[in-house]
Amino acid sequence: MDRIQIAKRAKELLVEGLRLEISPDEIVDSEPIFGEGLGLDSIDALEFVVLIEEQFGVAIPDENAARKAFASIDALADFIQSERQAAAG
Amino acid sequence: MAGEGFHAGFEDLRRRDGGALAVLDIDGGALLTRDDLARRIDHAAAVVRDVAPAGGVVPAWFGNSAELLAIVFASWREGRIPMPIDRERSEAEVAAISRSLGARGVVCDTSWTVRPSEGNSATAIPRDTAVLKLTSGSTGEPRAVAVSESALSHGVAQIVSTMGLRAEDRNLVTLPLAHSYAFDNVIGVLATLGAPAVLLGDLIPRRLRAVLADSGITVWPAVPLLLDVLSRSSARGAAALGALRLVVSAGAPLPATVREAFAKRFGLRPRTFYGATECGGITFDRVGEADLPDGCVGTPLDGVRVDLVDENEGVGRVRVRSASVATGTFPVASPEISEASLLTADLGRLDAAGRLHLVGRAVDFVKIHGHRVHPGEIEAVIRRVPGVRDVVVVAQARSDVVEGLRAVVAAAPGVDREEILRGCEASLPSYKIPRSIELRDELPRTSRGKLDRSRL
Repeated sequence: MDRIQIAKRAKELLVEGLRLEISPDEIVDSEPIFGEGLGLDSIDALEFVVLIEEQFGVAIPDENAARKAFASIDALADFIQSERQAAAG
Repeated sequence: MAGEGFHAGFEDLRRRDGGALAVLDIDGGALLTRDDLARRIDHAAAVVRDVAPAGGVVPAWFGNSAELLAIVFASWREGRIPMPIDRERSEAEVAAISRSLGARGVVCDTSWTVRPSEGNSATAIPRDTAVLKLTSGSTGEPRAVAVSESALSHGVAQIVSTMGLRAEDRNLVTLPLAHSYAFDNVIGVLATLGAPAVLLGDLIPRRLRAVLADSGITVWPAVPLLLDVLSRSSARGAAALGALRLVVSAGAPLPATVREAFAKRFGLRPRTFYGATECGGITFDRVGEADLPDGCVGTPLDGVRVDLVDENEGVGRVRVRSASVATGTFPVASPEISEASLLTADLGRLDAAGRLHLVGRAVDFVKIHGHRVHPGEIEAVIRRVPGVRDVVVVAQARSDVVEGLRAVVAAAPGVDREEILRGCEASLPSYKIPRSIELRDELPRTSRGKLDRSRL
């Protein structure tokens, strides 16, 4: 799965998993996922962490790492890609 | 005086062993012995005396921290009444409730700021009140439940006896201490048994599991959401939770699927605990059976009696009789509370084994983040948005364990979701803002003109 596919799948998970009433295409890759914009709260954040862990086989160690990885879809795709490369290599 | 017994109890424990752990604040990196906590209490006493006269209310709008514990104990020592307030509440709510109770100020967790609340002493809180716990009245406004020292001490003793808690236990605190459940199970147990509190705000599943495994935690008063994410998190690592021996689940119904998934993964079955702010704990799953059906909340705590009112075919409104029932609510009285008896908002039935099964609610509210939310309050706010003709707010499942709010709005053309959201954000805390807003030309009505909920 390349970075573009990772970003696309992450947006689908966000919309399906959190039952949002928008289309994945409406999520801007460079904008914040939590805190503003999509109106998601801490419960959504926890749910999304678990979905990403399940789907991509990566581990989010703590809140600091989560804050960085979940800053935007761009940041998340970078994080997932580098974790998967590290695991494979 | 109210609450002084709790401070005296803690002082006794400190004199016996001042070096024993009292609070471990994991995010803040602070470890406090009983002696350390006593020094924080000394410091907090000056703040408490500044905020309220003797017998007055000390609203504490705090996140979980050693400082919040210090404010509560200092209020008890100084003959004031602590009122812990969840950080999630809005400033407007905090100001309104504090003013209505005659508080002179509010203590906030940012550098102990005292905010003036211009209260007057109009509302007379009973002098034997040990703590004011916030809940919501029938129209959604915050209401303070006055718990006497005797009721609180009975409530804590019932929990300790039924759950078999011990002085050597170590409690993990992952929910706001301002909630009645955490207040009794953590602050109450610290004050009476000396069992230390481990505070953790970082709830990322892997972090939570690491803390459970490594910090000597033995008891975890949890909520279904966290049990669900913890057992689903596929992050690598051993499925072991260290010294943990008791996982309690309260605040929302615990589905059997979530309970059993956790039991399978970690070899420890979460036990359902059911309670209400107005009376503390009501029932507990003492046995921990694998086949406990959804809705079953176990048997009454030691010292608690449960019966059903207005029973019809075995189902009735749950009534609790216990020495732990609160004195009353302020500033508006609650007719559900009378002499050591509480009529809850829940419908239930009792089985042959004496277990209580919850089957619904007698009063219209939704539980969001552990708060009672009344749809009417949110409907009133949305109705004030220009162009809105009609609105209904209902519960909508966000997952197996989390409820959310959905608003269906009938509005003039041109009114959009953003406008309605802005209207909500202006006067509601974030957890009361509907997650889903649907605009329609008209609300669905039956031929008789009644709202047709099946078509929402």
